Amino acid sequence: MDKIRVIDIKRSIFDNNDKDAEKLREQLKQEKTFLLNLMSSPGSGKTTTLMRTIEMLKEEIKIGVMEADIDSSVDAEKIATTGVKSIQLHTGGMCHLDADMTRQGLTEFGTQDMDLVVLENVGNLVCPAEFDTGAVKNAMILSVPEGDDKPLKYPLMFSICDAVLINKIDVMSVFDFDLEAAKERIKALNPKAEIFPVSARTGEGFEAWADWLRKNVTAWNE
Amino acid sequence: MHEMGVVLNIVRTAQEAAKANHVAKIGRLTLQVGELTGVIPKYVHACWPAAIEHTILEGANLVIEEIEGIATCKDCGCDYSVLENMNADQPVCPTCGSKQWKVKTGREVMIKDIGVIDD
Ligand SMILES: Nc1nc2c(ncn2[C@@H]2O[C@H](COP(=O)(O)OP(=O)(O)O)[C@@H](O)[C@H]2O)c(=O)[nH]1
Ligand SMILES: [Mg+2]
Ligand SMILES: [Zn+2]
Repeated sequence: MDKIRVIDIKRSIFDNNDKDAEKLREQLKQEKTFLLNLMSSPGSGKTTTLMRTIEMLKEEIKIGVMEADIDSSVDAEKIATTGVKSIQLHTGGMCHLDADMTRQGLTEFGTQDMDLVVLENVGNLVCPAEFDTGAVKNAMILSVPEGDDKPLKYPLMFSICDAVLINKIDVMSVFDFDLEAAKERIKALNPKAEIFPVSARTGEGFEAWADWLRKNVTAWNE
Repeated sequence: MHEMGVVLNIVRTAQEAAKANHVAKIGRLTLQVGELTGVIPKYVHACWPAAIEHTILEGANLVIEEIEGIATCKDCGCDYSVLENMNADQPVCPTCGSKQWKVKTGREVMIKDIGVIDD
């Protein structure tokens, strides 16, 4: 019988992707383009939030949107009504985007002259958390109907996000959502996370969120 | 499916490792999967045959070792199992009752080693 020789490797399978992501960030820095990775469960309000954010910032910042959420050609069309450029990425049923797919998407889209590109990631809270897309900042949306205990169920996602939007606060009383408890749970996982309670429907809370985004885009692109 | 993306990354990493070690064929691969990742061993096994077709791993056996999720308590410093100390979806330190913790192990997806057949 053949003898099997064992070679120690001890390498994380995320190593390659982490390196690709770092390279992409360097490229974005040179091109003065800020990439925001926006994540959430399906239906939490990514597209609605984006529409409102675009309306607030489009006069001062040149924005583009890359749609990667499954079945979201509708989303790309909706975004188009705001007048900013958008592109639909074809993820072939993948549950997340990695840095290489993101870079290809940006190239196809042609983002050199954009100040801010938002990536609407695939709607799930597990896989996108494990693959760095190369984005400058990660933001996620937790919507009120999902419950204030959601952070406990998806600790990794909450721990990698720079900003967490708590959306649909207009229906907080209907769902018996405890905002303070949700904030506390997010802070326990990620003390540095900026938390924005918002309603993409009424516009409540959007000033603070837009300020955060504007500040970060300006700092990255100067 | 999430595991397909993971397996494709395993193949890529293994290919590089094989090249670095001047290996032409891999007969076995040991993968370590942390309990706190979203990666489910059963599903990795399920998509393994399709992912390794026509690669250096074609026909290779996959062995998966699970790594326990261990938390370090931020208040008293002790280490404890995350999954064995869940209370209402949240780990609680069995020594001091604190809910402040950080992950020590259990988030890794690593290729531990490869088995090669020498001619
Ligand atoms: N009540 C309420 N509904 C919202 C809010 N934001 C989004 N929705 C609704 O939630 C549904 C899903 O929103 P969408 O933006 O498509 O979510 P996505 O799948 O994350 O892009 C739509 O019916 C929206 O009208 C909000 O702030 N309050
Ligand atoms: Mg959408
Ligand atoms: Zn303790």
